[in-house]
Amino acid sequence: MPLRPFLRSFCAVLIVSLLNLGMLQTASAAAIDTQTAVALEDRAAVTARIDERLAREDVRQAMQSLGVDPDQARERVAALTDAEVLQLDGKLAQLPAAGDGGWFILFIVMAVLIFLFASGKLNYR
Amino acid sequence: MLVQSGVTISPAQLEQQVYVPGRKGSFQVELLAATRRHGRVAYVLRPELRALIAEVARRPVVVLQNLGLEALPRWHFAVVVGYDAANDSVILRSGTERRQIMTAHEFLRSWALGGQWAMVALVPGELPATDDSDGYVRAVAALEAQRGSTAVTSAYAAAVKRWPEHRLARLGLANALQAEGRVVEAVAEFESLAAQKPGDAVVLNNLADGLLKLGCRDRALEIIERASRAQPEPGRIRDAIEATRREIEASPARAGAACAPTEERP
Repeated sequence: MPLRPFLRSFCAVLIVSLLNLGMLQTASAAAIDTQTAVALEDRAAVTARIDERLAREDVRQAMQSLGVDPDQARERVAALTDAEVLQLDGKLAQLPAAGDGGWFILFIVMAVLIFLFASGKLNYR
Repeated sequence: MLVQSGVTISPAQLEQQVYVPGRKGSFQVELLAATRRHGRVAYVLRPELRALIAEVARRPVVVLQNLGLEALPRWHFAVVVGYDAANDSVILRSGTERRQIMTAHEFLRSWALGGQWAMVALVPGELPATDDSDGYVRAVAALEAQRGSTAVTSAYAAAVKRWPEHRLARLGLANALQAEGRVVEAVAEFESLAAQKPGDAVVLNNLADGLLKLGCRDRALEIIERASRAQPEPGRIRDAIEATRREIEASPARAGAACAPTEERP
């Protein structure tokens, strides 16, 4: 997928600005962590959103509005990687939210029981 | 699945970490995050049947299924615990059912409709069944960001053992060793990484940091110079380099220590 020169330089600017914005975390430590090196390699994610901190705040608020306890929401967002936050951001209403199928399993279990009772294979005694 | 990998957790605790009331369910990425919060590497399989089969042979695998229709999805997480080749069926732990059997055909349809998403929880040091160095190292780095470098030393060590040429795995191992205070080993690894790719500013910065810890102030200054030249653009890396330089310049010169570059790897 060839990028046109404009798009390429645009991406470069985005990458540089994102790297800048992440600065707060590395204030004192001299060593650069592995996650930062990973982020440098995964440039594709960068074009999605310029400010990852804004995205985190968005996701936290969206979670809260979906009924997650505020303290839990803060902890849960902090536990996500940048790439994961970008996956969620703005999409909490559409992304698959899966359960362990509570009502459906219950439905099946009930259906099987009803069938067994009805067919006389099980009875109350 | 977490319990299988040795974690003690109550359903209520887990629910607090993944459940979204307004959606009556959980998001995939939050399952990954919760896995990491319990000190496990959350590895997402390649979206292919081969990877799933290989992994199921070793450990339980969490899968996303769509039990409804493409247009009217009913999302569902289940744990695949086995594949019965004789009956061509898949054994699942699903909801409150300890053992649910689905025909392979039925299962594969629901899995494909869910985007063939699957994950495993790995104890640091365990490797996935599939030969996916990039995916695994990223999963380890995500755990490291949460739990610190010393929590993942064995994970990087296992990765380097299996994929000796993987640079990120080697960088991760060296960082973890450095964080553990095993600076001599870390510096040897940084040196070897720098010898392979002399313009890697991240490696050079961390090498300089390690050299300083060893008391090799002059050599650390020389290396941080090289790092500056390799990363002239401003940004996070550049700022880290400047911070390292200030630290080196502020430290008193110490004599002793073997400070010559060590060439271990060809």
